[in-house]
Amino acid sequence: MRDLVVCVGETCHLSGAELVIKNFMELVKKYGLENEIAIKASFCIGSCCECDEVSVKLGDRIFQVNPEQSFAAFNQEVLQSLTSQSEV
Amino acid sequence: MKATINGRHVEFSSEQTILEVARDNGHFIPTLCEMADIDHTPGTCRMCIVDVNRAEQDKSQLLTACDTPLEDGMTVRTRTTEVRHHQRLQMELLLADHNQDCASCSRHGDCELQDTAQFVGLEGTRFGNKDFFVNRSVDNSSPSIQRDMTKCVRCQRCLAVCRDVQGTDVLVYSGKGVDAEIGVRNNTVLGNSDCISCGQCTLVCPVGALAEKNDIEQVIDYFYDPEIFTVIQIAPATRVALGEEFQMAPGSNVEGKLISAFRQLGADEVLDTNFCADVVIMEEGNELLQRIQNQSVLPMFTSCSPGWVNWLEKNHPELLENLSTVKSPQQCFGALAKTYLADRMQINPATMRVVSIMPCTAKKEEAARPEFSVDGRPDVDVVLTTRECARLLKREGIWLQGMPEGKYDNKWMGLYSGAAEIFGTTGGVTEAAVRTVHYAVTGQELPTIEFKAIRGMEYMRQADIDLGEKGNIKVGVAHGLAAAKTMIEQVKSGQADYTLIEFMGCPGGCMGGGGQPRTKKKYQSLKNQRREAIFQIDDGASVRQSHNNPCVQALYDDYLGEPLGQKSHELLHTTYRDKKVKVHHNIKTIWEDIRG
Amino acid sequence: MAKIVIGAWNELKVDNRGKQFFEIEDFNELVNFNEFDQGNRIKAFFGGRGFFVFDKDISVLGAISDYLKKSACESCGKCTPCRSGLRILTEKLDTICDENNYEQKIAQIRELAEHISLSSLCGLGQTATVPLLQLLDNFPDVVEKEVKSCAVVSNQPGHSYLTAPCIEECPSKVDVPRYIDYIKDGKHTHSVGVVLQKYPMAATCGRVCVRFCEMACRRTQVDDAVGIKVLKRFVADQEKYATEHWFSKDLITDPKQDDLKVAVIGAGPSGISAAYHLLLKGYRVEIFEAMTEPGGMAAVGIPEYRLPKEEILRKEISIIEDLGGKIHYDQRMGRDFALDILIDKGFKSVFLGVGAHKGKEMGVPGEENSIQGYISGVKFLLFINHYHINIGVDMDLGDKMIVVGGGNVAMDCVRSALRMGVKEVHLVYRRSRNEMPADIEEIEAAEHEGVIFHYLTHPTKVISEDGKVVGLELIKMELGKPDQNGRAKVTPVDGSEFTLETDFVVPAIGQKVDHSFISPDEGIEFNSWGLIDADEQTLQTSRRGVFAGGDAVTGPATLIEAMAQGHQAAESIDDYLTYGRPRFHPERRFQKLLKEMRELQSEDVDKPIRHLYRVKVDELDPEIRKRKFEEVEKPISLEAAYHEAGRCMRCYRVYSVVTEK
Repeated sequence: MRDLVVCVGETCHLSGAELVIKNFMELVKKYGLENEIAIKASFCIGSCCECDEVSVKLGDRIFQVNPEQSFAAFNQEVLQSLTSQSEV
Repeated sequence: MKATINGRHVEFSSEQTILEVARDNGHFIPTLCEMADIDHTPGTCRMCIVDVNRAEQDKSQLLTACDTPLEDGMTVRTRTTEVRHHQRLQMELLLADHNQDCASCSRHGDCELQDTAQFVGLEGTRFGNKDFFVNRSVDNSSPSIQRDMTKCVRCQRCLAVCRDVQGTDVLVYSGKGVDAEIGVRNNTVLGNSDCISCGQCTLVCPVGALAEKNDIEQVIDYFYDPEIFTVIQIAPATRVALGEEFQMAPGSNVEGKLISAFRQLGADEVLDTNFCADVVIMEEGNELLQRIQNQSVLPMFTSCSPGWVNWLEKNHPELLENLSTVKSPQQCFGALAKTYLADRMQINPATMRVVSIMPCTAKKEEAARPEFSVDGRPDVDVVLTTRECARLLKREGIWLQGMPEGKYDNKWMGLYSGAAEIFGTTGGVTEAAVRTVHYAVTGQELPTIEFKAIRGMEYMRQADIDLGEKGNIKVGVAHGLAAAKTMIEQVKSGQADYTLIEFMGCPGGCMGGGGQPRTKKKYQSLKNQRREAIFQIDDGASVRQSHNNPCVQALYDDYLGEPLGQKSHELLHTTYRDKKVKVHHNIKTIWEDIRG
Repeated sequence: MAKIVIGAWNELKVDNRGKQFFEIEDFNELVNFNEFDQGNRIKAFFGGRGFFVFDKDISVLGAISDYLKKSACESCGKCTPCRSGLRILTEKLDTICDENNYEQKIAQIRELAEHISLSSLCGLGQTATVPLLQLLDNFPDVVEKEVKSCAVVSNQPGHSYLTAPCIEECPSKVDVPRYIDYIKDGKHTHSVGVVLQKYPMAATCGRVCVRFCEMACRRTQVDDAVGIKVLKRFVADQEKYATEHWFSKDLITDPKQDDLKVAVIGAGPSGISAAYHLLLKGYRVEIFEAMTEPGGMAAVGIPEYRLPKEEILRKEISIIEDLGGKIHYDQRMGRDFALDILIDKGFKSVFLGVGAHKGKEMGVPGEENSIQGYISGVKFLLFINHYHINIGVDMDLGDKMIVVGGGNVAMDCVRSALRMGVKEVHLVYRRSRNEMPADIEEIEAAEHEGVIFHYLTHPTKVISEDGKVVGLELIKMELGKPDQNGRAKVTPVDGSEFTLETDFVVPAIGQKVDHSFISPDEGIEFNSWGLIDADEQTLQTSRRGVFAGGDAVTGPATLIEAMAQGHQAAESIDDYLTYGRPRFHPERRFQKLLKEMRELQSEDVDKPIRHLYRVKVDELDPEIRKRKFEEVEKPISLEAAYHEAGRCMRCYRVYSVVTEK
């Protein structure tokens, strides 16, 4: 079970963290990943990009997500990492 | 703890009131609103004034005894001149807004207010004023109970019984000042409310504010009309309680005397509801077996208690299919009298009037149900409660104690079994049913005749019945509506794995019915004696089981055919209706009400 | 200050007849007693302990007769002496005027009055005849003269007021004994109706109110205060006034002109209360709320396990919409609109209910909003509410958290933190447990749930590494001598510094008003505490037509005070828009009068009363509940409600004044 942590700190919150979380929750359900991915909110995950995007952390990797493109980001970052994991 | 009452030392434990300790030690203090049996001390009449010095205090205070705790070292005096003076003044104030038309009141001579006036030595009434009660409600909308709030003394016993004992919570306290009275929830009239007519409120009312509807005049009309053929049916629970109204020992069986009394009054045929209790067992016992066999709706609920049926229709119409479709013994009697009996005796049913003597106020409403009329003629024309029966006899100059022991002498409906008599107490219907069902299934009578496992006074009971190869069935019993509520909750949650449940609307079953004789300042205090008497009648009966009643056998052989047959369905079965009312509130009317 | 001509109050007797006015000494216990309203002198005063007459020129017996009539009107009718006795007494006083049989008549009146006082069941009956008895006992000649010269005048100009200690203590002046009466009577619809006369948030109040009423409850002298709040919750939960739409526009029978629109800023308790009363008075109201949900501090400052937001708070607030009010969300004043824009849109008056949301800083080195792991208490609660409760996502809050503060917000933070899975939750408070302002029930609940308390401890430095909180440096305090207000001074104990490791530091030490909603040229002045400057009586700000109330004016206070201010402001706005000037409200004048004569009101219970112990409210087991946001306090049963209502002693009494006009 891996934690997918979305930052809801001041700037990320204003950038639309809520939308990212909602979208991610829907995707986890859609792909039936409830036993592999646990979505969490955190007040800071240590990387402020000072931009209009939301910081997200999966394992050691931190990446930025544009709320309007959360689906793409999920596919790219999350699904990819799962498949690559299972290859190992 | 120690204190002094009228110079004598008393010992008591903390949290006991002055009244309690006084009573325990033989000191009389006049009271009105309190009723220890239902744990009711509202402190509203303010009659029980006593003179008190608290420990170490010189100054004495006048306090009410019912709601004041006795304290260590208190000195109490109950009969000082000052105390008596204030009690009399209180009585005058109590009478000031009371409708003092005692002469026409049903409680004249039997009224706790009159008693209290005597206890305090009332010397005059200076303050009566008609304006003080003229705004209060007089409500005759219910066929069973009449409310005359001009007589209400605000003791709130009815509220306590309806709310705490029965759990129906239909009555509310309404209004302010001298216009204050006991009202009906949602600002409606009794006949259009959630009231189920159990009449327990009429048992505790100290005055004539709440009483059964008075139908005596109609019965006298029937007796004195030569064209009318009157048929009387006497309920099982009436005969063991009626004697109380004539100062006979509680639990006296006055069946014989009552038969003679009615004959003397001019009744054409005096019969017994018990005969139809036996018929009900035949129908209901077979209905139960049919439900078990067809695996249809179970548990089956008994249906002879109209208060209980009203409650189910108004609160849980979704469970109406569980109710047995058999009518109550009273209604079966009416139907059979105007067909079977009329035919056999060659009486024109149009001239027949059936009068039942019931321990029950709800039976008045039951008799008036549209389902129980044929061509505009009700099967049961008038219901008199046990109390009305007593008043009728007294009005006609009949002193029950002196009457000879009469006997039923009607070859078609004149016999009953012991199983029928026990209908009058909680568990009786079940026991009677078991006696017959056991025989029907196994071909054998119960080895013990009685089924004592289901007897008792606990509000919810159960027992297992061994039906031989058909296995075990579990039966449940609930009496009083609070217990009925709990039982229904269990049924709904699936916890109640009974096959049959007997429900009685009144505590103790019919013997505790709302139409039974009252005992002043007590509630259901003679239940043990009445119950004993009922079981004794059963013990001494020549026939103990419904199916062995020769009149019942003849009824089926010669007239009805089979139990649950077509004729039975026509005459002895009924349907029920959803009577649940949803009240919509709006804040506007509520605020108008609040502002007065 | 008042010059008493004759008077009797408890054991005190004053007789200054024969003296000229200027010779009479001022009676200092009666403050501000000269005028009732402007230019209208108080000539006499009557209350449950006696009376005072300030002007020879009135009919004392006539005034007392009116006083008794008012009491008779308010009699609940349950007990005999008050119900019949007061009516009979008033009738006798009405017909007393003639010379015949004076002694006999007065003797009978006295007999009745004494009997009513000593044998009545509740406060009303017990106090109603006291002024009469005081007059008869102390000034029989005054009575005789008035009767024999037929100078008993009724309906003299004046006002009367029915109240009880619990009512006076409640900021909203909810008629407590009345709604408890309705529970006793079995009319729960009417019980909640009484509460709804003051505000729409009855179920909310019944869960979170600080209960000033219970602090004043006289039952405390017998056993425990009556569970007034828990009874309110009981009827509010039972009666579905919100979901079954008891409210509708039909209620408004007297709508004002269409153009009399009022803008309410903030859908918190004060704003909702103001909107409610303005709508009921017939005005059109629109609320502008900065957040995306209504409720203000009640929504964000109170956790879900104390106040369910969807089922309770939001349902009650929807009554505003049932009445025709509109709520606009995500409309932040200062960012999305300003006062002038509101005026352009046609609003004729504005109510500012913006609250005090900004968290106060601890004021220690290392404290910076931007470091990871530092978040103010209210913000913390806001986020948990939004993300965990509303959206349903779990939070990652690390393993250790330190909350600094001692009020209810601090308790809410620590208890919420536990529920979010933080393993070690500490609470740091600079004073002792006894002095913590939080509700004792909250403190105990937090203790049961396993929060680690550090009393007499104060933060000195926030320690962080790489922009992330790692610890909090603390110092022990000691209590010194109490100052003139009774509060002990706390001083740091030298050399007692120590550090606690932590992932989060949450200061919950108070809130301030966020000034970003207004710009300096808009004409709204603030006082030295940063709170909106508003007139005490009218709640008008320094700008005409703009009113304010709630935390933004009082500083962080309570829900009930905010709602009371909303109501008061609605009355002022009504005065302003319909009459153009503040009007006189007799009830408020009485409340002020009574507050100022505190010392004269003795509340001793002098009779033995049976102990009926207070209903115990069941709670969810601490082990279960510390992991869930389900409501902790369980509802009470119908039986328990009847029992608890029966404990109310109904301490009503009437006060009245005779005035010049």
